[in-house]
Amino acid sequence: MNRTGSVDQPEGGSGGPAAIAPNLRDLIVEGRFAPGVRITEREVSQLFGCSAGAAREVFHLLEKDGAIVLSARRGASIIDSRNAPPAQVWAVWDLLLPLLFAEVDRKSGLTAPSFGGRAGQASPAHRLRLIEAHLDRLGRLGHNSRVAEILGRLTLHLAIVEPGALDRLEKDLVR
Amino acid sequence: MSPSLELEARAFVATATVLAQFPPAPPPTLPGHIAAWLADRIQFGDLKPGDPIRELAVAEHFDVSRGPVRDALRMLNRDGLVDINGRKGASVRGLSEDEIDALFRIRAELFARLCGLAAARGEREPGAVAALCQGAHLLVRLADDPATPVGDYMTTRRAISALIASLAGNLYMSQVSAAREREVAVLWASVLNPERRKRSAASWVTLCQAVTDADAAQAEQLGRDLVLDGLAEIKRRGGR
Repeated sequence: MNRTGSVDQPEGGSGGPAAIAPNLRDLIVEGRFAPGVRITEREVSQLFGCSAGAAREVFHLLEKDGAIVLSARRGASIIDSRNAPPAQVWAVWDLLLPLLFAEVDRKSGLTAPSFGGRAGQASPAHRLRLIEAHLDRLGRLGHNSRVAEILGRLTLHLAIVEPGALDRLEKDLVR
Repeated sequence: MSPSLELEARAFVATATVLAQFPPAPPPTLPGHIAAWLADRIQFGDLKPGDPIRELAVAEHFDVSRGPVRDALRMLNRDGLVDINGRKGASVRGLSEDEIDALFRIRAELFARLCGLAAARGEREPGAVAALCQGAHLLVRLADDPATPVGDYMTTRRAISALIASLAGNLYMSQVSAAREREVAVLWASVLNPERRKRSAASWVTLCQAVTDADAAQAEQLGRDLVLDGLAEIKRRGGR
């Protein structure tokens, strides 16, 4: 997912990197690739039936979101708690979330979101998408898209490195 | 600028970099090096919002092929400094008033918290705190010398910021803060006139004093004010 709003060169189409990236992101959030493990272009090519070049582009897109880190030595690896120490990320979340709420008039009719109902039934990737959608709504309502965008990144990082983060995120958003 | 002042600034930045180890040095790759150089050109005012960045010219400057330059531009695009438009190529990103406002308010909260944390944790690292104050006083002298190149002032200021971030002990928060600071890099040169530098440097001294005194509340407020003063200055000058 390209969240920063700058102009990238998505190749579109059903096999293009822009279409593959969200799917790979979901797999990571679902735990298919554990935090810290390496992921190769070959694996991505095989999984999604795309070229190595497209896989490379997918990595760039995911690096932009901070879901993976790219290094000249190790190639691509999923972030882990060294890249995003949960306590530190939560500190930023706790600091910035009030900025988002401050701008939103609680009486504006924004109904509390229901996050996938029965616990354990909604997949992590789906729950994360709902959280991000809600942040997006809050951002637009309060004309605070930047904060929403930054918070969105945080939720992705937390979802990857800390099991159970989604529970707390949902609770924090249902104020 | 006197040679000895220049040397002192360089020495301080080197020391601070070692002490702080943040922000993490740009990747020791060619594209990382090129990207850092371009980011400096933007922050020091050599490249202004809207200016095109010609791949070929940069490649020739570094005597490399266009590939690494393209990678560097991509990194800068990712960090929000550069727009890449298929046909027109790369250009320095300008910021709307709303974006500037939002970014500064976010930075203000992050930096305030980092200053507060640094003040609360400073006693554990007296060496870093001492370096911090040394840096702030150096900044005052740099500001007092009208011949100081904007680049030297900026790198010293950055080094002081890095020390605060390192003292705060929340690397992730520092990175989020540093990312916002990078995004507004393009605005600095236009507001760092000599008068402003003096006021700003004096504020840094007061802030460093609060950190030394372990006064977290004061440090937070001063940190917040430092950033918001910058916003006020940019608005005053109608910066883009």
